[in-house]
Amino acid sequence: MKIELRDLEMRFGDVVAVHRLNATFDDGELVSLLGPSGCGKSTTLFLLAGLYKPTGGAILFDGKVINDTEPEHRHIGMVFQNYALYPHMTVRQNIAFPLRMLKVPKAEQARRVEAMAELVKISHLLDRKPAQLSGGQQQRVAIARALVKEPKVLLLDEPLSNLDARLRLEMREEIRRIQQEVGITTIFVTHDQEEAMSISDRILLMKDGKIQQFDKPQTMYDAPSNLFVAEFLGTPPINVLKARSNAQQKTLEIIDEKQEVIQSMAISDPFWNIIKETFPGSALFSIGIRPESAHVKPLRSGANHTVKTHTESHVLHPSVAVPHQKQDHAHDHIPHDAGSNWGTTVPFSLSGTIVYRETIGRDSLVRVDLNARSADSVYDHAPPSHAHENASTKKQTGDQKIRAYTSLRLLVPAHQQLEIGMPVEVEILPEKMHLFSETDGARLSLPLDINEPQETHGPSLQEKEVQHG
Amino acid sequence: MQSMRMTKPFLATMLVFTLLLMTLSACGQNNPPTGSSSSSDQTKTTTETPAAEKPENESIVTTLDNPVEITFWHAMTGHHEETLQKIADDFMKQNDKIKVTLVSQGSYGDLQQKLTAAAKSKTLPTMSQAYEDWITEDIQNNLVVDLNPYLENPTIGWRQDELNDIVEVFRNANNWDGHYYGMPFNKSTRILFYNTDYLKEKNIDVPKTWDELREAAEKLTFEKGGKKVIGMGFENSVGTEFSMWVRQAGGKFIDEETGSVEFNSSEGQKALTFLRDMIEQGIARLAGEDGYMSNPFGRGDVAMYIGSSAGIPFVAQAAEGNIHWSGAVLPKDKVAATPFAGTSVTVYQSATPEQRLAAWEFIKFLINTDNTALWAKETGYLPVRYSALQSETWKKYVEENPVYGIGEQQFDAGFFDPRILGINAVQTALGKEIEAALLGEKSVDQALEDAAKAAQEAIDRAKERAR
Amino acid sequence: MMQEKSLATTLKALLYLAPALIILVVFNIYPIITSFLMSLYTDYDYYHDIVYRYGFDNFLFLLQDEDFHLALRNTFIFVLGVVPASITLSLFIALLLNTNIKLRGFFRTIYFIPFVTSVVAISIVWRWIFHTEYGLLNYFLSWFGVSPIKWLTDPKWAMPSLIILAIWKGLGYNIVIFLAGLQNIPEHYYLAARIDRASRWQRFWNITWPLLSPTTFFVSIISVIGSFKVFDEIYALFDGRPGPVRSALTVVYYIFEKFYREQEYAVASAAAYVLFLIVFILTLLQLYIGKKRVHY
Repeated sequence: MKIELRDLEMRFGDVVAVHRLNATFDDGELVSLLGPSGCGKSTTLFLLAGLYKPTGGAILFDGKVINDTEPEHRHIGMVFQNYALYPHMTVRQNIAFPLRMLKVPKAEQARRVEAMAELVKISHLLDRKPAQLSGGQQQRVAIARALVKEPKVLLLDEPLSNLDARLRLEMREEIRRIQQEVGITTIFVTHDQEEAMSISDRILLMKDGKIQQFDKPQTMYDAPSNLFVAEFLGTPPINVLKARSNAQQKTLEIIDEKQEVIQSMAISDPFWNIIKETFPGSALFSIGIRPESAHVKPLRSGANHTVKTHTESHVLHPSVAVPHQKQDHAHDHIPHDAGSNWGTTVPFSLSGTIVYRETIGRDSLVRVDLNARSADSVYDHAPPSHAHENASTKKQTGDQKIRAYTSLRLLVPAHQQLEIGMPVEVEILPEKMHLFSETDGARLSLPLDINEPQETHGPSLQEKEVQHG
Repeated sequence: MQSMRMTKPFLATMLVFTLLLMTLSACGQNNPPTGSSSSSDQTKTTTETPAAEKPENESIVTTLDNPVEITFWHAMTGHHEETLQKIADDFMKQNDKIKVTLVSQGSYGDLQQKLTAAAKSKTLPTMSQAYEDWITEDIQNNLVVDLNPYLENPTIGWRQDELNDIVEVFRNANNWDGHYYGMPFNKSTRILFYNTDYLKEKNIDVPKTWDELREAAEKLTFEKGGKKVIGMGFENSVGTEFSMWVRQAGGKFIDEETGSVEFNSSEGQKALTFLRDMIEQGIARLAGEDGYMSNPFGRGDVAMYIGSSAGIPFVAQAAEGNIHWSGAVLPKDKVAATPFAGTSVTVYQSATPEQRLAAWEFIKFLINTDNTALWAKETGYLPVRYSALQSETWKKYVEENPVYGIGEQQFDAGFFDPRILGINAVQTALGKEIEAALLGEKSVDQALEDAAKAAQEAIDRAKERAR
Repeated sequence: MMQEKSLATTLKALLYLAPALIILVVFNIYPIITSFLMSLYTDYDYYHDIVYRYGFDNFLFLLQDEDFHLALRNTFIFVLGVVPASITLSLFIALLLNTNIKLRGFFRTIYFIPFVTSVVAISIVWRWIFHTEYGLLNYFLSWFGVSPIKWLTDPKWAMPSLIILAIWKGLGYNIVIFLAGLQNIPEHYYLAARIDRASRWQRFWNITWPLLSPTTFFVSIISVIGSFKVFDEIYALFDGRPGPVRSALTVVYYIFEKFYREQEYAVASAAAYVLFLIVFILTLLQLYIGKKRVHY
């Protein structure tokens, strides 16, 4: 069944939970509604289920407005976050319940229950009560109950959030398998971006009741439409630096929380022109750099390197380093020679110090401080893993946020010799850099627009990381 | 979910209980043969000696050397309680060695329950208000003090004429085989209340006989300004005052000596038929849901009724601004018969000799000529001494409030209900059967027969129990 | 948290349990035992605690005492009249109050008031409501051409009046318990059932009723036990009498009369014990049924 949402709106009193949502889900498609808690994704699902009635706009199933159709008559199946299996009924009775309500003959009920149990692989559990089942088994029963009446839409409300990590992996594959076997239009609500990326045909990412982006997972990852999308997708999360364009010197200045310049990056003319057209005068940006999108090279102390870094002096001699000031913008540092190569392969370059290293196994995670004045005091050594999940949510504390703007979390090959305290150079390919407007977070001039977008959505995250490592 | 957690232990507890009780019941069955039959029968015969014959109290204390405190339980409330307190205060002023503590226990029912409990737990007060049949029970259980030694004592006792000054019917009610176990305190009687407006309107004289009563009731059952007035009213306790009707008809109720029930007679039938017919005819009604007749009478719903003189203040209150009313002696049939009710004061054996003496002193004070007159004036109860009835203050008071003088006019016709054991059960059975007859649930013959049978069983059972 | 069972932990537990246990033993278990023993006294001196003979005479007396039979019959009629009606009605009202109606809190308070008001006060009001001539109930009935009913003075109507009062009085407590039970049923079962195309009625029978069964079970046990012990309402409603022609005499009232009015302490104990056994057996029966029918 094809589902259309037209200017869909849901208010609870003064609170607008869903704001003018427009989207079309194709028949047989698995769409994830993704977003942080309170973004309106579950509300949207409940609107689709008919458990809420929209306060504005319309929902169309196969071209027909079903705003006022009761959930009983929408031909939907639904799996709840906590499965909502009737605790006083056996698994068999649970799965048969929708059929019983439809007054399906007893014999057919039995047959369909058996078939469904087989599909979700719980035939041996039919005579147990839900309380006697594990989380994953309950999940399967819930799916079976939702599908047994052969609905035209399957709605899943955070179905995996109550399972442990390993089971979650297994079940999301199962859901994908069952969905493709049945070929049913499926809406899947989750707050877990990884889950959404892995299972969906398309992801509808929401925030504060509004659509942020509705696209294929890879497109969304490669070309996030705004800073929020960029920050929400990807583990470890994307690095965000604050930058200011300096028209005089044609540089992008990386700044810290006090608006002081840490480092400057020279920019080639084509790119510069785009910036100038979009934002005349000096403007603020956020620069997004995915952890796997940079190359980290050790800097030998005192080496006469040719990389166009602006502040190698203080990197090399941290003891005498002072915060970069405006009057320090020396002309001789402007990398004129690099400009002509924008858009090809010459990377941008930043320098910093390794302040943290974490072994993952497949590769390693390092944190590079771009502002390494006193590394020890700025960084605690708590593993950043807790920050992964929340990187793009509001839960992140202001403190962490500030630090994030002056450091980069990067993935490097597991065996690369990088030690804490080591000065490094970070090279970033321009096409892997995302620029967002500081005012509204909207994506600016896509690097992909400059370099013809590569139609290589094939490689998975891991492969990409390997490439860059 | 919570209840699941509770049901299992609950079940377990219940099971433990059954087991416990089964064990106990086993004990109970096994025990009697071992420690009872022969041996305990002997103990029993010793305690069985009737209290009256017991040679106790031969030596009593007659002077108080040290201060003594006594407690008096009662069921008086409101102004009655205040008056009692005033008398007690006066007494303490005159006897500085004695301190009287009055404790109100609520209603008579409450008082009886508390006395029962106190007797059991051996915490009885020095003295209490008590109905005579309670005292009978207490005598059986050796709980009350024989007052004769005090009464007869030359220094603290009464002369014969002082004793005889107590109204005879009240005196006799407190005398068991020549022994006084109580002294009358607050006594009331039954009188006929009538609505003077209605009687005047219908030009009827106050009925003096049953026939006149019925005739008056017929005439007084009429519509008055859209309101249906019923001629005659009876209290809900009409069953328990049945002795009065039987006696008026010339019959007997229950023999106190032998305990034989004698009301199932032609006189009894006549009395019950008389009452039943009036109600059936619709010229009489019971207080019913109004509780006491004073309310419907005060509203003018009923033209006449027979009730307790203790109800006079309540009638006055209910009638205030509604009707004019008065009272008269009870109509008679073959004979005049008027029950006297109300409590006496009794002293318990748990009291020390000094307390008993103090209690006796207080009783003497409580019902001396002045105080019994004061009490009657303030409460509507009757003075219990002839001298008080003759006193100027009382005579003047009665002149002003004639209804208060009705009671004493009936002394000669007065009787008191048999003070036998099991009288409560008798009253319960009688009340039920009389009510059944009056409500048409049973025939008069059947009701009387059933009542007599139940009453006799109750008396025999009580006798058997006290044997 | 979990500790090995040992003497020390057992003692510790006993120490915690002691206050409740002591109260229970002194005020419940000891009286139960003594009243059982007393029911076997056939010849005794109550005030001096001397028993001359034990036996089953008191039970034999009860066996042939018409009043006791009447009391038993009336009690059963009362229980049957009150419990099912009270449970049905309070469940119905609780279901209504559990929906999003206006003034929900107000109504909850209203229904709970009877439970926290003294029985005597309630009964006085109901005596007025039931009054043949001036009562509210007969006044309402007169609108429909019903001639005045003698609620409290007609032996046929006394028991129904008592039952009406008891149902009304018990409503508040039952409703509160049912409301708590209803709110314990997670909303998502209802959502799931709607998705599964269950109608309102089907949702009640398939979700509410089975999931509420522990509450219903609890309420029914409490109601049955409470109803068997009815006394105050009678005493107050009929002004210290067990209704006209003893038509509202119940077992507890019978016990009260025997004990306090007639000094038949042993008979009263025997009657109390019979009542205890009846309630006990019925409760066991309910637990047995509950085990089969109640879904936890």
